[in-house]
Amino acid sequence: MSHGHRATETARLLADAAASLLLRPGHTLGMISGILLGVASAVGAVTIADTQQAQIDLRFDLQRSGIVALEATTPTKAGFPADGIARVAALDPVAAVGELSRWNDRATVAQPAAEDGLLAPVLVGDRGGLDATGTTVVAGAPAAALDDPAATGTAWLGERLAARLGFTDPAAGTATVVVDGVPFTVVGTVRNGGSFGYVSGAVLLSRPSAVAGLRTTGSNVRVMAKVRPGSAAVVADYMLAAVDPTRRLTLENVTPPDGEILLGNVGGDLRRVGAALGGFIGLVGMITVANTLSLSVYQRRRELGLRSAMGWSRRRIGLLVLTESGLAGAVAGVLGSALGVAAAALWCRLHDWELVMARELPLLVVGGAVLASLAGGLLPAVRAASTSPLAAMRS
Amino acid sequence: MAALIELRGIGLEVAAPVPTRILHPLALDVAAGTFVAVVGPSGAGKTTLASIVGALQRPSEGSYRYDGDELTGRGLAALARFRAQRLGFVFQGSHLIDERTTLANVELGITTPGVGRPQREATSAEALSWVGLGDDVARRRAGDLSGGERHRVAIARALVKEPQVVIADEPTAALDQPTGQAILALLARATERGATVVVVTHDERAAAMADQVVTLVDGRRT
Ligand SMILES: Nc1ncnc2c1ncn2[C@@H]1O[C@H](COP(=O)(O)OP(=O)(O)OP(=O)(O)O)[C@@H](O)[C@H]1O
Ligand SMILES: [Mg+2]
Repeated sequence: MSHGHRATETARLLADAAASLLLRPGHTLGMISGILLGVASAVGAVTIADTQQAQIDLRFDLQRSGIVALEATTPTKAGFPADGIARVAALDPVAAVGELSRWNDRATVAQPAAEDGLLAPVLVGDRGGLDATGTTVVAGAPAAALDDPAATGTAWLGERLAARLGFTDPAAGTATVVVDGVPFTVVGTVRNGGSFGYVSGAVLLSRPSAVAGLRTTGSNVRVMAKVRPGSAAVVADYMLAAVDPTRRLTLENVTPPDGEILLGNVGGDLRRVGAALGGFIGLVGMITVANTLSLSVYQRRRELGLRSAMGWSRRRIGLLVLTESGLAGAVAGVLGSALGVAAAALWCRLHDWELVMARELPLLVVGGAVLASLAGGLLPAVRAASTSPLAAMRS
Repeated sequence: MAALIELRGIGLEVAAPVPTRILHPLALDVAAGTFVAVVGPSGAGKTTLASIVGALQRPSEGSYRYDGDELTGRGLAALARFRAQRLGFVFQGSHLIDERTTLANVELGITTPGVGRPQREATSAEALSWVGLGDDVARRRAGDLSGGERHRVAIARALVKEPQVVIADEPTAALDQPTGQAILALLARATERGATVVVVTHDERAAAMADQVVTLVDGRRT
């Protein structure tokens, strides 16, 4: 067959197959329903996963800055050794290191004259701990004052707590706060606008103040380091040895899993779930195509027999059915992609998110849909090809 | 002049489900351009003979020479090519694809590769007008046509590629008298265009029109 002939015949085959599909739209839609839904679920789920990933990245931005946290499981009055902390601070990927312990999560905090106070956390920290957690002194005595071993009996209030307790000028150094019955002079206010937001609602004491004033020992004594992303694990190992060489504190590494990897896992998992779901439904869709086409080949025995009687080759008749299945798959891929994107767009609208979609996704799923449909059409095509030309005469 | 179709000792015996002889060995010559009627009672083997002449099924014995070439022993693909190049069929049911237009149905009869769409449509419209159907019918859905129109379309589909032989199996059985008559007249007219026509029929008028009448009884030519 010449080149021109082949092009003409291909065009004719495509038009013929398209007519078979388009003129029986209900039948065609039923045939592609499975693949269509599979593509829609895959595209929808993957797109939502990608969009959600962008959202997670946004929300966990601080997490990704990298925090190493070691917690002392044995109570200590002395705190963490200064030389060990200094050695950690000297490490290249470490931006800041120090203590920020949650001494008591439910202390009674009040103004001296008040009948009853509020329940608020008591934190114990030093300048390094404040820096490591991104906590800043808003007003009053600077963070450096926390490191003064001689200064006892002083406290900083989280700015939210100060407002709740009704302090008018907490930074003036004239007010007093009573924590679990013990009075402290209020010397300033602190704030954390990041992932340690609870600091803004807590009382902050220096370690000397806490040890001298409070009768309890700290329940959650931690040393924190702010590190370059990706270096948390290495720094944590070094810190364990440097801060507690004798293992007296029985330090435990409570560093959260590396943000980047964790987030990647979440997004990747969602994507894989979406793809697997789509693939599974697509498989069911392939069987639907096979079933529907088989039935259709049976119903069209007369038509196919007639084509055969008129001299159409078996190959040509099989190719017709295969082309029908391929075209149907393409239609399913396009419609399914549109449906999936529409669903994802709706989801994003409801959540006020900006839609994020992999550019290669539609191409990929349309290709997948065509392949699945072709696979489903293989057996029916073979059956169609073997329709006897006598079928036209004897029916 | 040698016959276009030359059957010698052609017979058919099927093995399944029980060995049955459907057609006893027979001889038949059909001259080019003639109108042949195959008649006989129901079950006599008329359709079987027509399907062998039409290369739709292979005989179990004998020799079939077409225009001097031996057909028996050829493969399925070769027989399909032979049908595509030489033969046209009209069946008892018109076997149109109801969802498609009349014109598209006629186009299906064009089996020559490489004929572009405009030419296919023009040739098909010509064939339709030859059987007396105009442009309005050509554009209509085949499912909406009357029984008589459907048969005309089937004849147009058989003739559109200008086959050497047209084989029709009871083309008038489902039609009323006048319509059947018109269909037979159309087939007879095809011989004027040089086609050879083999019609299986119960219709006595067809036999009266024929150049040659082949009578079958119980699988035997009488
Ligand atoms: N493949 C086959 N297997 C078994 N029997 C067959 C087969 N083909 C045809 N027959 C039988 O052979 C006989 C002749 O069949 P055929 O269809 O040729 O008859 P016919 O003359 O066309 O009859 P009618 O006028 O009713 O159409 C019938 O009894 C039929 O049942
Ligand atoms: Mg018959």
